[in-house]
Amino acid sequence: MKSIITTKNLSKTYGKKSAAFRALKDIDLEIFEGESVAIVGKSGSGKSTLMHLLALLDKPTSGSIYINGVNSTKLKPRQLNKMRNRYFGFVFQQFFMNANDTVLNNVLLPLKISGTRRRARKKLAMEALKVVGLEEKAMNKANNLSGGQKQRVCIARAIVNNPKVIFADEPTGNLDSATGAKVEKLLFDLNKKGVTLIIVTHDEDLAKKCQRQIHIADGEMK
Amino acid sequence: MKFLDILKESNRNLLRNKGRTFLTILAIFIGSFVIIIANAIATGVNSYVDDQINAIGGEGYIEFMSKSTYDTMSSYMASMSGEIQEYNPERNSTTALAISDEQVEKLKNIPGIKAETVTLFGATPSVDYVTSDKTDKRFIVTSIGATPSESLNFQRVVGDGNQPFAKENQIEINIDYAKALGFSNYNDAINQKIRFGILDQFKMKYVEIEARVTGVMANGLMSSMAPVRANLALIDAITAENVKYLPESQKNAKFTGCADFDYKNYSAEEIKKALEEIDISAMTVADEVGMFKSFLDVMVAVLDVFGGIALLAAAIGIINTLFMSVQERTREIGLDKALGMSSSKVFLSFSLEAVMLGFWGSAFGIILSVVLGTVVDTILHADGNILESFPTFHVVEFTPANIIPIVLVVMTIAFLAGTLPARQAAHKNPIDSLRYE
Repeated sequence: MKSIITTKNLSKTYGKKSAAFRALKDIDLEIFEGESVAIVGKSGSGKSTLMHLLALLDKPTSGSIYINGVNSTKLKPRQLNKMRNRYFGFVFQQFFMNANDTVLNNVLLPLKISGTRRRARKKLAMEALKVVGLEEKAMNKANNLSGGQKQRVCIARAIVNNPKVIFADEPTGNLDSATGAKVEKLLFDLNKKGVTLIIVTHDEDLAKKCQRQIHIADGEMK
Repeated sequence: MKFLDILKESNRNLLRNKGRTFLTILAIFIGSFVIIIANAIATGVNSYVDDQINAIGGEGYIEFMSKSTYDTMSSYMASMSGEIQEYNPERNSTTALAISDEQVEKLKNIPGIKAETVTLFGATPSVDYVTSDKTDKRFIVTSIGATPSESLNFQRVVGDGNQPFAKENQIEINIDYAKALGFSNYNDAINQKIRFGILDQFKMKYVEIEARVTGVMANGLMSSMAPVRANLALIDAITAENVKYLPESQKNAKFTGCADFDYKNYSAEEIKKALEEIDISAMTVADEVGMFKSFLDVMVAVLDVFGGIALLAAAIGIINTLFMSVQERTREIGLDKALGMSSSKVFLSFSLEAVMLGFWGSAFGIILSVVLGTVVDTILHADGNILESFPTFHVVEFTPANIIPIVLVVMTIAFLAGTLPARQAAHKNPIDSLRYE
């Protein structure tokens, strides 16, 4: 199996000197292509920090992260932006949508940022909406959707750029169990098609559905 | 992200909080409006003044008088302001001396002066009335212009104008005289004879001198100062009548004159200096309007300063608006950055918003200035209003040269104002921004 994300001695410290807080301590882990991995831990354990580092949203204080064998700490901001835009998809607990914009425009945002042509990005966004079963809502205002629909739109946005890895931060945290199950099914279906899935959660049931669980407590892997 | 997409995004963001955007644009608009209108007035007045300068002889024309005539005039001006001057035998305080034949010879030999164009005038020609066959009325003529330069252009409505050195008596009249003399169609005036009446003070009867109309002039600053213009033959005929009872020695005395000079190779200053050396005071048209122009420049500068202050206040408004906008959109910025948008694009997006605020502010400034300026100009030119007889004078004049630089400057100011909030947005960390409540 090919490793897609590897970390070596990954540490993150917030604050300085006496106020310093070590959120992550020397994390070594390897995630393989096509895996589904749950990062589990209580609130404040450092699991979100770990996800942010893996997703290149934040910089480690020390240690390194290899994406497809490339040392990301050596990359320039532009290359990091490009890498996030091309390889990663994000699903957040709070959705983070532009509420006054149409569903379609929310979905095609990553393509807009990458500079894809107008016609191509519309086509890809419609395809992504089809995957989550919301192609009929394309022209609706994002704000007019239900919570479950919103999260499905976010999944469409996460897959519109055909990413290698999807990071899902408490994807079902704001949903009731029925709609949550629908969103989970969508994510695992994508995983079956070969997308690497990294879910951050404190929900043990969701974590168990992943092939592997990484437990984080007090900034350390258990 | 493509530039066009960023531009559209910025435009959409401006429209999100329409009230706030409107107020910011209003502030920019006020400053731009003041500056645009000030410069439009300056352009309008300057272009009119320049037209007038060209009309009365342009760069290559100079008027002169004997220094003693000039000194006499100065003494007179001084006494009007209540100043009693000490007598100076070097200076002719009250007696104007004629330009001597010797001076004329020297004058003609000054390098740059076109000797054949040197024209001298004696007593100021005066007539009592003018009339034509089309009317029974007789009209007063307050002053007769006599500027025989070949290069003159009096903004004629019709006609070819005088031939300065022709033997025949020729006259150009302005449109007011044309109407008064019965030529409501200006074309009808051309080649008609009109008559000037001069009272013979001993015989107590009028002597009439006939002249052929060669042109009708539009009203301008200069043509209203000298609403009729004679060629030299007519001037000579009139002055001969004016001075016929004077002793021979005074009949031919010349006090003023004019000439063309080679302005391509000699500056007006050089010519004036050379004339000064032979005791002749000279003035170009530019000298006469120069004072007025510098006054205008000061006025425009003052207005520009006011407009500038208003723009400065507007710039602070832009900073404020965009800071609020950055705060409101923190999570959006976070999302954009998480999804791979670069800091420079975020910076560009907010800068473009600022630039667009500047653009719309100045664009509305232009629109209102043009509309208001045109309306005011039209009203002032309406029948019975002060500019009725100055059809070629426009209070405001808009040209790309006086509008585009202002728009660019305002957009630059807006851009600079926008850099502060834009920098703040660009430096935001995606995670903190996404967590922002």
